[in-house]
Amino acid sequence: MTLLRISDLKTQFPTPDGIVRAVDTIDLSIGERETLGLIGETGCGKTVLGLTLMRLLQSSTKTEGTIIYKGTNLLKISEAEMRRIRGEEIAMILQNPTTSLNPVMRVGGQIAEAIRLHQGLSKRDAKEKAIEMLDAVRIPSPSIRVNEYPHEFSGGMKQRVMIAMGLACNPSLIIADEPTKGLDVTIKSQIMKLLKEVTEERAMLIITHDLGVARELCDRIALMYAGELVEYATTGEIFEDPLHPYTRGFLGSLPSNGLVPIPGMSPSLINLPDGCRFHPRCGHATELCRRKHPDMIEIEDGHFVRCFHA
Amino acid sequence: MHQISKLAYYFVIVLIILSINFSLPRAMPGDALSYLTDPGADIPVRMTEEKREILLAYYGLDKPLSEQYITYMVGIIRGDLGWSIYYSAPVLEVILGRLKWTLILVGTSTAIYITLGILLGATSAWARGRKRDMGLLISIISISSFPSFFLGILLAIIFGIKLDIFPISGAQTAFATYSSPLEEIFDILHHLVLPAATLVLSHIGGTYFLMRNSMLGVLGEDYIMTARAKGLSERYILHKHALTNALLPIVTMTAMTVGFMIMGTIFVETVFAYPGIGNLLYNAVSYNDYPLLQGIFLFLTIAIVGANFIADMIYIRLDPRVNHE
Ligand SMILES: Nc1ncnc2c1ncn2[C@@H]1O[C@H](COP(=O)(O)OP(=O)(O)OP(=O)(O)O)[C@@H](O)[C@H]1O
Ligand code: SF4
Ligand SMILES: [Mg+2]
Repeated sequence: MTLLRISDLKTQFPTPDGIVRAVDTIDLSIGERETLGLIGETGCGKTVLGLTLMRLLQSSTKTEGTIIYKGTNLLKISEAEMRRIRGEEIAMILQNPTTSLNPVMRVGGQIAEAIRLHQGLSKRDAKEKAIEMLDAVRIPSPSIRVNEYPHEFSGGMKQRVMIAMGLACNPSLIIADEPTKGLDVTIKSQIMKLLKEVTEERAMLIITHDLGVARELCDRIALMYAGELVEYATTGEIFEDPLHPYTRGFLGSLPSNGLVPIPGMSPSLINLPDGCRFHPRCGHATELCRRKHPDMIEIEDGHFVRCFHA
Repeated sequence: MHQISKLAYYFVIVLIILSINFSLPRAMPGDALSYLTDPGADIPVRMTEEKREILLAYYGLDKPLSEQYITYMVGIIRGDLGWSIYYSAPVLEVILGRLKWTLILVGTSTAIYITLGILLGATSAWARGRKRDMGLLISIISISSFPSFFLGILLAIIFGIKLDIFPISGAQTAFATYSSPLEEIFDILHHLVLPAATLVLSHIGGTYFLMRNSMLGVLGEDYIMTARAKGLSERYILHKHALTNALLPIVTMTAMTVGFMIMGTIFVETVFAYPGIGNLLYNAVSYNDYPLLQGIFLFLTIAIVGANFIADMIYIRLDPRVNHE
């Protein structure tokens, strides 16, 4: 069963320098209990895609396309209806837990407020629930820590709090933006273990730079380049049989594969190159690639790629 | 623990201020009476050396400094700030007689300008770039461009003389007899309106701009996005998440501007002949009443230190991080 289907999604920011095409004609779907990984270099539009799904971007942003969640187009409902979806149906764990927690509010209060709002629990019951959530993300002595402030938590513990906040209302879909960024190896593997459990009971969209994280947690992986998807397949296919030169380059930049970076830089989203957006950095580029923009094609069953020469 | 060390810190500061107050006049060349025996000085009274010695002894100025210091400190603890030459009364008595009025004036206007500044600043930030924001911004910039004494005179002319709805002089009607305490309170408030309004108008800009900026900054923070991602309403987010964070710089700034407030009070009390400390300070300067001047400075510095202490305490309550650093 498909939980979320995104079609033709475009997100654009009008700026004085021109239009930033941060998300450009993206099609994606996430099944119930499926975990999808969204991977790409910095600035390619991953976070913007997540925020677009939550409708959290400023009002000057232009959004087109459809986001069908459980049969409803999220781009068509009212703001009040959208607020009921946020936190309760779809939760988003923002990137960077240190700045994403309110420094002057107790951690318990920050977890409990969503519970009180969506489930109408009393203050006391919501606090009990917050303690349960802290316990569920393995924070030791949760009934003490519930009264503490974010600065009293370490980086890994803050990430656990963020996850607890996301889980609080038991949403059907969680969007996790860079959930392992900046954590040292041991903490990272603990957080991954926790996320693994989280993925078992619900759908997840995991945004990451880290192919290792994606391989461990995701059923399918979508690679994003300069605002659009370039390859989309099961995790197995992506690692066994990567078809897009960008994907291969990305895999080649893994430490286990010799850390060879992709040459060049990703283009500005205001001034996109003609033809294939990857062509200035692609070793296989031909005249065709420079002139024409390739479509996403289904090369094998469920394996999509945007390249003329794949 | 933290609060106790803060208290000690402020105690030391007050001690230092008192010591400066003690040593400044003594650091000057000569002594308090030497100008009276100087044959070159252009003064009507002249004093013999013997007379001077007697007087110095009378005031304890012939004693060693350490002994004078102790006498001075004991005097302050007992409330002895010296004798005002112009008012011919103990300095403490003169100051306390005026203090009530200044407290009423500064207290009400500070409460009003801070509250209004915070509310308007938050409103402006919330409506950023829209009509309401622009309207507030332009009005407050215009008001803030007037110096406070000019604003005072303007208000006095418009509301006191032309429209004649508020008194422009004093804190109470002179020689009035009141039939009830309520009537007296009303009379006091009636006299308070113009001076307080002047102070509010000349200080609101600082708080408003700071609050607007601070709020704009906070609204762009990641934790505000987190709050939105939970489905919380904008109103709730403003009250529960944004306000406390945005208030932190206001608390610090308000304490730091108490000095400016006191300066504004001197102008305003002079314009409206309001019988407070500012007006007293003006008189003390005009009549070279040094003991009184010294007493007033002591009060003002203690007021500034006190304001900082209060701000510190509020900050600790608002921001859990400072307790642990
Ligand atoms: N509000 C905005 N207004 C204008 N441009 C924006 C806005 N938000 C993001 N962008 C631009 O959109 C592009 C995509 O940003 P996004 O944050 O989605 O990148 P990302 O893939 O999440 O990168 P990272 O891995 O570094 O988090 C960037 O070029 C960014 O500068
Ligand atoms: S279309 Fe051409 S330029 Fe683009 S990735 Fe494929 S080979 Fe490279
Ligand atoms: Mg991002």
